[in-house]
Amino acid sequence: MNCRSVMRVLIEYLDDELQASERAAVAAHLQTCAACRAEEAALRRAEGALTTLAVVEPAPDLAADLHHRISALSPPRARPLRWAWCGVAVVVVAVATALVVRIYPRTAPQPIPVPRPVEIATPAPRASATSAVPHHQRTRPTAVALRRPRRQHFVAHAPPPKPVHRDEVSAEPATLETAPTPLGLILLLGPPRELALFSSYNVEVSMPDGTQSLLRQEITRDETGEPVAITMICENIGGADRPPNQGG
Amino acid sequence: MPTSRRRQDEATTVARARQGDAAALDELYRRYRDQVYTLCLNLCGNREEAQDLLQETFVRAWRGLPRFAGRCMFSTWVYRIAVNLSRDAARRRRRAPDFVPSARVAHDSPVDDVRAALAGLQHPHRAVLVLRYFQSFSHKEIAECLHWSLSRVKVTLHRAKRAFKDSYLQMNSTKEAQP
Repeated sequence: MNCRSVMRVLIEYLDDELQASERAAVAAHLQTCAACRAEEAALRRAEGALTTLAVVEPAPDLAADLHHRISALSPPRARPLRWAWCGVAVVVVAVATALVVRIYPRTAPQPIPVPRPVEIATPAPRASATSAVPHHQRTRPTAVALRRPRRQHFVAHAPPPKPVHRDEVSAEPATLETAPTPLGLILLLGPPRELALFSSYNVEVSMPDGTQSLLRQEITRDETGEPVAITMICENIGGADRPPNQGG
Repeated sequence: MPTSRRRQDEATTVARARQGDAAALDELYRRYRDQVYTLCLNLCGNREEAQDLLQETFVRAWRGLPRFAGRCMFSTWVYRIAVNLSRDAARRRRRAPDFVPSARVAHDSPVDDVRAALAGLQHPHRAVLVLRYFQSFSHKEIAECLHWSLSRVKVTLHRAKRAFKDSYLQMNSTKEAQP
C-alpha cells in the first residue's frame, strides 16, 4: 500500500471497518511511514476530542422560564380545521361540477361562423409621372384591404352530452357518464389546492367515444402527517366496446 | 433501560401528552431538556443562542405534537426539530456582514475548543459529528433523524471527520502561536 491509498482508508481503519487483510496492510504501512503515522495520530486526537462533548444543563432560570412558557401554551389538539376545509373543498368541487354539467346540455349548439367572402379592395392605380393631376390633389384609397384569415376555424359538432350522474368524490370509483365540459375537466384534473393537498380520490370518467378513464390522486405523507408528494394518474381502463353516444 | 422498553415508555408518555396531559408534557420536557440544550450548544457554539433554540424547539414540538405520527422515536423527532432550527439560525447568521464562526465561541475549556472547531464547519458536517459523537447515534439513527439516505450519512461523516481534524488542529496551532 502506498501513502495515497492509506490516506483514503485511514478513517475506516480507525473505525475498524476494514477487512482483515486490508487492515494488516494499512498497519504495516503505518509502521514504516512517519507522515501517515502523523495523520493517524491527528485523526485519533480529533476523534478523542469529539468524545469529550458532555451533557450541559441550561441555566436554572432559563429552564424554569421555559417550563412556565410551555405550560402557558394551550394543550395540543388535533386541528380539525384542515379536514373541515378539505370537506368544504370537496363539496364545492362537486357542486360546481354538477352545475356545469347541468348547464351544458341546455346550451344550444351555436352555428358555425362561416367566414363571409371578403372583398379585397383594389388599390387605386398609381398616377403616372405624366398624369395631369397634381400630386397634392391625388386621392388615396380610403378602404383598407381586408385579408382573408389564414387559419380556418372549425367547430367540432360534439354530441350533446347525456345527463350526468356523478357520485360524490370518494375512495370508491364514481361514474361520470358524459363528456366532461372544459370547466368540468379543469375541476377534475386540476382541483383546488386544498383538495389537491388533502384528499385522495378515484373517479371513473366515461368519454363520448365509449372509452373509460380512471382519474386517481394519491397523497404521500411523511411521519409528521405533512403531504410530501401528490401523484395524479389518468389511466385508460378500456370500455371501447361500449357504443359511443348517439345523441345526434 | 432497554431500548424497546424505553421506546414503549416514551410512546405512552407521548400519547398522554397528545391528549393534553400537562404532566406528560412536563415529563417529556424534563427528560430531553438537557440533551436538546447540549445538542443546540454543540451545533451553534453559543450559550445564548442555544437557549433560544432550546425554547423554540420545545415550543414547536409542543405545537406540532398532533402531527407527530410516531413512526420514529419522539427524541429523534425533537432532535430533528433542533437540528433544523440550528441550521436556519446558521443561515441567518452567515448573512450577517461581521460573521466570524469561531469568534462566537468562548474558549474557557478544552470542550469549548471542540465547539469552536465545530463552529468552523459546514452545518451538515457539524450535525453528523454531534449526532454521532455526542448523541452516540448509529448511522441508521442519523439517517432517520436528518431524513438522509444511509450512504449520504456515511459519506458526510467521512468528510466531516477530516474537516474537523483540520479545523481542530488549526485552532490548536493558532492557540499555541498566541502568547
